[in-house]
Amino acid sequence: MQIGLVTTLALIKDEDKVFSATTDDFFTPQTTIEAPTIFGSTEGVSVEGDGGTVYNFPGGLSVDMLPLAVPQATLGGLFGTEVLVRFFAADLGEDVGKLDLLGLGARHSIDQYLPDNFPVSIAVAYYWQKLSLENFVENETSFIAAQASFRKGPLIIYGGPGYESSNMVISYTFESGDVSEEIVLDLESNNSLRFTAGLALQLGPLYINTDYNVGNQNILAAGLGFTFGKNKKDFAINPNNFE
Amino acid sequence: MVFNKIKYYRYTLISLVLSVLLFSSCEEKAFNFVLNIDDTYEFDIFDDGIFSVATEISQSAILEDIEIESDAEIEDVNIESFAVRVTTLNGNAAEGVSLNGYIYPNGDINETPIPVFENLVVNGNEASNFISIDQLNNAGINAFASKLLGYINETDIEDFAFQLNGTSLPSGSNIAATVELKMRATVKFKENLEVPFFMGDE
Repeated sequence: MQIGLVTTLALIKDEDKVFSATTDDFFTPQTTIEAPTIFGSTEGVSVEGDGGTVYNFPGGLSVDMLPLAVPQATLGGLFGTEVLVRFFAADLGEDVGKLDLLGLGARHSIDQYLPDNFPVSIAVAYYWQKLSLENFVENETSFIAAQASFRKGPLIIYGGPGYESSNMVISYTFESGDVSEEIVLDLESNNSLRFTAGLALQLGPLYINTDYNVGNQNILAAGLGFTFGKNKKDFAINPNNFE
Repeated sequence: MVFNKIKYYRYTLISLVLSVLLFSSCEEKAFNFVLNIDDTYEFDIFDDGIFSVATEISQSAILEDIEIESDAEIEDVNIESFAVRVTTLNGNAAEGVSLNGYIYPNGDINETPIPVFENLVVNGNEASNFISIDQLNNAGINAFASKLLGYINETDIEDFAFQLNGTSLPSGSNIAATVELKMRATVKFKENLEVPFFMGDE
């Protein structure tokens, strides 16, 4: 059993910092312009309209990276299969609602079907994660992967390809004066390959690891935790495995 | 959940900040926000030709729906749009109306008016919904924005007047209608917020 804290650092791409924004109905002439998303520049953009009117799009928060830390537990040992649970919840108040993160995963060792002297540990895995901010953000990701690891003393090198599917929806009610409008933004719906490469250091029950994921969104991850019980084999260690 | 542009960014900011457990140290950085001011001015017209009606607009009426922190730095106020809707009432015989909108920045309609729009023709068949006014006058729009900026900065507390006059179409026909003018302005302001290291500009 492993219990640890997994940290991830999502790197925000330049293309995610702007979007194609269109002025509202009554502004003339209707204009479409590149404006900052919430991750974009703090400087908003303005559009000059007829007769001295000006339409202002607000600036973003200028976020280049997004770190997140969540506790994670892994329970394994049954028929070469382990399950993983990642959970975090916090109540952010009446206006924002509850922040919930739930991740579930299963990994099956291929090692048991290979000769004992096979030098590399191999596993296949499937992970699912849902992050929701009760009142306006919902992000769901699933990830299927093949993982390999190689141990040399306390050092473990791991990595492998995977295929991920993710979707993020932001929804909120925009209220302005007497106008109330439900806004639903399907920000991302991607299916893409992801490649992971990482290093882990296991010193007795303590493990420390870091890996870099190249995919639709590049992510640097790190983990720290403890392993209880006996590890039959390295079992393609990849503690962060779904970021 | 209901919130406007500024609250949207604030709440998202709060949620992002709180979701980060690793980084407890924050620094103060400046962020740019935009807040809408929406106002609708209503005029009832019962006449048989040329008409003129006016309304007074006060600082309190403008500020009652907006919340800006006292330490925020107001950068500008812009008029984003004007839209008009004409609703006919019982007894109306006019097929349309030609409208002029004027602003009197000092509230005195005996002074020289500054046109916001002129000769805006609204026909009966297009009057049931708000339609955008695309023949706005630069001087009138600037005067309107200047009053709002003064109200927000507390450098101008005097009421101003908005006058609507015009003629029924065809000329001399009996008009019984409510004219609504919808104005949207935006306030651009800068506010310092405590955020983690990965947010905001250096």
